Amino acid sequence: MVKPLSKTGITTDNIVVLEGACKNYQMGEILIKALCDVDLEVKRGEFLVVLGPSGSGKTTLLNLLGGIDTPTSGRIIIEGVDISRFSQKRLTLLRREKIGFIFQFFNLIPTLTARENVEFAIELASRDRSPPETDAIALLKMVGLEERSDHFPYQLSGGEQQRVAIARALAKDPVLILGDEPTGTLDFKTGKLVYKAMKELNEIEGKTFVIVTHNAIIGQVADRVIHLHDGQIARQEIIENPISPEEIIW
Amino acid sequence: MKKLILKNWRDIKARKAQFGALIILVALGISSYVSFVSAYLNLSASTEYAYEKLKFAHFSTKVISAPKRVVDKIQAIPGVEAVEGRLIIDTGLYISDGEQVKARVISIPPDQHPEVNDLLIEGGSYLKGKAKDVCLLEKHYADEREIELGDTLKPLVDGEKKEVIVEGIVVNPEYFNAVIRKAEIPSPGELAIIFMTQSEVERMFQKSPSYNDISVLLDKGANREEVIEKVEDILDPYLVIETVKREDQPSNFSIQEEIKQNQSMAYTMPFVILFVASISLFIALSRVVQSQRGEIGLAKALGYRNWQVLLHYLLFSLFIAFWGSVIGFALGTYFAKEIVELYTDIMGIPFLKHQLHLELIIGATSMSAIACILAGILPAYASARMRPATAMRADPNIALAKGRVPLIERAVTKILPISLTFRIPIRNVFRARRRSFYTVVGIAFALLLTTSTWAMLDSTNYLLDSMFYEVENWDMVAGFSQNFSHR
Repeated sequence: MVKPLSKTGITTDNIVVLEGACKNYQMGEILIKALCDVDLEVKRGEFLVVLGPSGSGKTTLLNLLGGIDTPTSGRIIIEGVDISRFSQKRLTLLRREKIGFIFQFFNLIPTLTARENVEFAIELASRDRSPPETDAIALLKMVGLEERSDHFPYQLSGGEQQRVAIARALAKDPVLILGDEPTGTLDFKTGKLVYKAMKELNEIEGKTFVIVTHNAIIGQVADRVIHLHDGQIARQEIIENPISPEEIIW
Repeated sequence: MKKLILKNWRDIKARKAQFGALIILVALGISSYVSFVSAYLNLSASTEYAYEKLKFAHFSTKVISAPKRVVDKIQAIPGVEAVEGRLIIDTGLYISDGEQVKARVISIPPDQHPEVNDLLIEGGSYLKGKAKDVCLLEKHYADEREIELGDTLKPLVDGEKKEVIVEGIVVNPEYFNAVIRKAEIPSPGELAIIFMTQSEVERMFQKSPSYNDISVLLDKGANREEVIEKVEDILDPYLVIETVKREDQPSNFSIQEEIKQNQSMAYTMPFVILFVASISLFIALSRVVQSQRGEIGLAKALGYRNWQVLLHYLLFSLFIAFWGSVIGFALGTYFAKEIVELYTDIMGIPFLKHQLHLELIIGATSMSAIACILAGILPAYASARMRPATAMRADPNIALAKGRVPLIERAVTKILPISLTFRIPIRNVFRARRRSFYTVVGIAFALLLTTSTWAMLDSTNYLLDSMFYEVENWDMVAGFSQNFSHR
């Protein structure tokens, strides 16, 4: 694992801005209002946690932030560009260049090794860089898995799989990393390790994280916590002294 | 794309039994296409080559009896390359007491091979001019009856046994299929074609120097109908019985029928098999896409483009198409060789033309690719169109499938109460209608393949039974070498 060198701090410029974002889904004959009139700003270098019970619209919010879904109404601005009316092609390019994802169920390709799963994302990076193999190993080293690089997902523990997913999320050097219940399927001890890895990347590399979870304890490690309820932001709180992931208990 | 292609390969390895079965199915379709078409082309080529080498007549005119000088007159007709006058006498051949078979004695020129309907010497030697009581025997009969050089044959002349010694075993283009009547089923041990010199035939059958058959070989580009007309004019005074054109010549007719059957098989069976393969592939790939929704969503979330995802799933089809073509072509070529060898052996066609046809390689590959791409394009397109958020959610087709009670279930339960165990499968059939439809079509065509093969076997048996137990309903038949008055 990387050692923390310094806290890069949160900058004043917004990396993401949501203005009155709404999202409705048509599920069969029922219209579901997943997100309603959400205003939100995410600052560069911030570690933001979105809390809320099941069905509160957390994942929908994350999908909108990541450009994997489009709002029914409202605006989403990423690095100053309004993406809410982007075509699927432009959204694909946006995801390719700016966003990293960490999913609850890891979503690793089962037929690719840990290294190949990371390379799966590296191949999409357009800028000049060293060969994919080297980068993948370096990224796996960052999450402490270089020894397990040739193992297939089924040969890895849940925590290891999620750390591979983190390495994959970093592979494209994204400006924003989104985590959807990244420790939702992990045990307490492994979950803490995963959060430790993410916090280190936030503090050392200055990566911006938005993590959605229903676990309120996780809010203690964040810079800011947003509480979602019934598709709306109920309240938000600034965490003045976030604690280390090693200190949290759930 | 490298990792997507690697994923293709790993996915195939993980489903090797399923992909293997699909490859075998495509390979079967392609091999049946290649083997039948190739057999048809090579059999045609072998026959044509043999006809050309052995100067198979373009037509033969039968007369009661014509003087030998008519040959020179016919030779002078423009467009005629060669003419051969012959005496052809149908008689019997004595085998043993109580057994005799049909025999056809044909005259040939001494010392030199005929100019038309040449003989290919398979064993022994051609007949010398002065040699008496010797003959050449056609190969089918010799093989069937295990007759060797030096053996004696006993043709019947007016009921009297004569003796001739076999000096050679020959193949003749008029008897590649040993039949003397059109649509006759060959029975090689029941028909002996015997070749003797013209003078020997005249002597043995007490005929004056004459011909009763004039065979003509034409120049390339000659107008056959015009030549026939002129030949018949010349032969008119000698009572023309009939003119048999090459396509109506009994042996050639039956060979061409066989070739046609091969041709029709070549253009029906493979398409049925490939149709079944396409449906199976469609169902299999739809399943793969459904099972990999999460992976599709991930790839798209990471930034893979629609065409990359489409190509990824289409590569499965192309993989099956490629290996199906390669294996199918190899098997087809092998089977084609076996089929042609079998045919040429049975028919006694002495030359075997076996060659690879470029158009077949292109045809087989295209057929395989089209069948597989058509089967794969819908699932692949569906995968490419999925939005990442939708793809990563649970399958809405399953989650939102309509849970209506199908009409059949309502109807059945009104009459007969059935348990839930039986209701669930009925509902599932009607819930995934498209899948059920393709499954039904797939099974129907699989059955079609099986039953059509059995039907062919049954038809042949039925045909033979009808022929020998109903149409040819006799226990014994008497054959005469010449016509007798019925009074």
